[in-house]
Amino acid sequence: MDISTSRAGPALVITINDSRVDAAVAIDFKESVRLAAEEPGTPVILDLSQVTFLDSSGLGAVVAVMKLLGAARPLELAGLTPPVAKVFRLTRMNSVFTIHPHPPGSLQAAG
Amino acid sequence: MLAKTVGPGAPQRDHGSHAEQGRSMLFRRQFTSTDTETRATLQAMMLSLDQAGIGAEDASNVELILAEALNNVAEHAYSDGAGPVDLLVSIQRNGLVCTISDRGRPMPSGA
Repeated sequence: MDISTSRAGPALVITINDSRVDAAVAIDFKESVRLAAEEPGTPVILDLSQVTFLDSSGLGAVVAVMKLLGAARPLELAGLTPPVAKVFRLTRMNSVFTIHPHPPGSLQAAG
Repeated sequence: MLAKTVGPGAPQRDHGSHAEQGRSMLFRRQFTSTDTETRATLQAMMLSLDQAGIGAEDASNVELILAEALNNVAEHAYSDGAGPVDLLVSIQRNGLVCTISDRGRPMPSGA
């Protein structure tokens, strides 16, 4: 899975550069994000602004990463596209995560 | 919208009669229940929905519902190994009719 990382102040930003987080890549996603999160920084902000499809397998992988990171490094989400936001809303997982409208460093976040 | 999974022993549907029932076939694909073929099928279906003028929000709802149903076929009906799946999406006056047929294990409830 194509992933990049950057820093935004104290936070580690992990950007998913793929359009789908589904059953075909859920295991790869979990492992790739876990490895990317070995870099320092807290909270860990997952930039999903390029993801246009996420199913329950993908949702399970995001929750698994949150559990792996533990309470000391909260996993936050940013830039959810409408189909992805809907999955978090339908499953009420939007109450579990801090969700930022835009990824840190984006023009919208700065404005 | 209807989504139905037909198990073994169920009568084969006569797909050719849809037009006579006021339905017209929008998409059909027979594939093997692997994660990657399921993904490719959903992506091809989304192209067909777009070409048929189905709006982005409706289309993404259909994609999510069918992804979950098809993931269940792969995970439960064919848990011993991938098998054939037939996805048919038809359009009729008041909505889409989606039919998923497989030859895997039946639902535990016998549905």
